[in-house]
Amino acid sequence: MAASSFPHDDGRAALAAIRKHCKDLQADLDLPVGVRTDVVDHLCLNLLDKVDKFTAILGFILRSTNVRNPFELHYIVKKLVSRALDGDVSLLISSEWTYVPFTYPMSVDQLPDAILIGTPAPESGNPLLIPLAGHEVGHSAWRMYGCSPLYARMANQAVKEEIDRNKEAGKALLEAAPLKALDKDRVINQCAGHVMEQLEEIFCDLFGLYLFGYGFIAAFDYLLGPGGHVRGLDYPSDDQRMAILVEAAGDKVEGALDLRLDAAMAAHWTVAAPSLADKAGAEIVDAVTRSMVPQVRTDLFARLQSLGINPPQQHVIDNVLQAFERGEPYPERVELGEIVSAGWHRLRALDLAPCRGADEEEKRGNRSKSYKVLADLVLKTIEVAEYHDRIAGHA
Amino acid sequence: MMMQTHAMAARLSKFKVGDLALKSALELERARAGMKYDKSQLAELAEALRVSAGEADGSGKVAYMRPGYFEPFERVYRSSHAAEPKSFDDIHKFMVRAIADIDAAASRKINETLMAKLVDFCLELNREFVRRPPTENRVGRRERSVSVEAFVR
Repeated sequence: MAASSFPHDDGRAALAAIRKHCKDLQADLDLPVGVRTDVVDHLCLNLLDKVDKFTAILGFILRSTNVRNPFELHYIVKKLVSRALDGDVSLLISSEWTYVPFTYPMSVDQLPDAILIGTPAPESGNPLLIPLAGHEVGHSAWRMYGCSPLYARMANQAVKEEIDRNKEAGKALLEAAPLKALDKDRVINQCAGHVMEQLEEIFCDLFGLYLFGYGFIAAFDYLLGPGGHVRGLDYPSDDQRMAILVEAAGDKVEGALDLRLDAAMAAHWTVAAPSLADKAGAEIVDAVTRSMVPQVRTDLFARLQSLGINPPQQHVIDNVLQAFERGEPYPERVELGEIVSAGWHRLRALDLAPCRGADEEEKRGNRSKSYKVLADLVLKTIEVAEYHDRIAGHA
Repeated sequence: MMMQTHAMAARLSKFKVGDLALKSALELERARAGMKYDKSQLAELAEALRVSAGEADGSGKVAYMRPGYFEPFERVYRSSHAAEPKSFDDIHKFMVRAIADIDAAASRKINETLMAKLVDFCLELNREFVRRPPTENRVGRRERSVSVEAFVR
């Protein structure tokens, strides 16, 4: 694979990191005579895990060279991700046959300096989905910013207080386990663990929102709406996620991004109830998570600002949108979040506008043509931004 | 935002604890056989346990244990003692003792009995913290290589 051709150096860098990792693993095989068999078993299991995971990652690296991939996005997304993570990362983008954008979760542990973004192949012509990668990159940011130790103690304490405050749910939760001191400790630690899991997901949503603004919410709404997935304690409910995004994007709370949103954006999202067994736990965990969201939001936005990253600016989005309405790419250097936000505003306007055509088939054809034109405008504007950036000597 | 968060604490994950535990078991086996061994792996595991079990805070309260780590530590305790812990304090003391033993192994030669006990402990940690998928998932019955919940989860 290393001998094949890559469109950029990141594929090769990821391969080199895997090779180094494998050499380290090889050193583990230098075992003494008489080593315990259970140690050997664990080592074999571990090596099988690595082979399993690296095989999937190697396949991804290979597919990232496919000419169907949106190479236009690579430079500008990598630039943004490197700035947000405050370090040099390898970025690989590939279209994959899953319907939701993702990053390989195992790459966070196995290849911490490589971000692997898979975008849905059926939507490969749609550059407006790239904001959702912001959520996935957020998982790397959560680790790099050191969020877990920062919020862990708060979570433990807040759960304890919430159990004492919400007597009914607290009692129901503790009654599910035999009432011994140890069980209460276990329940508190378990709930705090779920709070941390929920906070990480919300952090990732807010991370995507800050980088991509309205573009993130619109892509989120498009791909995941109307929500209502099965509810577990380790994940915030979909409607709750949307509500948090809308609040952070609006102008009602301190530090919010003050972006223009569609009035009914969150209105159609459905509420997924937790199972009966999880009801009391969800009440406690959700309440604590909600209480910690403002702190997480404030910390995250301040951190990104300190890295010199600004959220998409509404007046710039409006300028780009006007260019799109004229059927032109925007000629100045703008941020990726501003381009995709303008793209989503335009797409939503196209959806609402009546389409010309003698019959339904012609109307559908015209609408689909207008989407394609918009996708081209977005990609061209991204290329223009890259051009300006390289010319300015930031490359 | 990060303030002065300890570097280990910032990047710590359950996977990391499990991985360090296996590496430490290997190093202890090398030490037992009189081979050259890497003491830094043991020191790193001790540090990882210190920040996740709350030992660094010295309070002995569950509030200082990393959220979600109580149950895996509790199961390691059970397999080590073949008995129920009576209180959180039992688990906390068990972890503090284990950390001290790992520290000792990282700094000087320890006796064979303790070394064997530590290898058991490390393997249990590895089992608990590196959650492995069922084996059949590796031989073609897996529906997809990456969970669809990667985004939704």
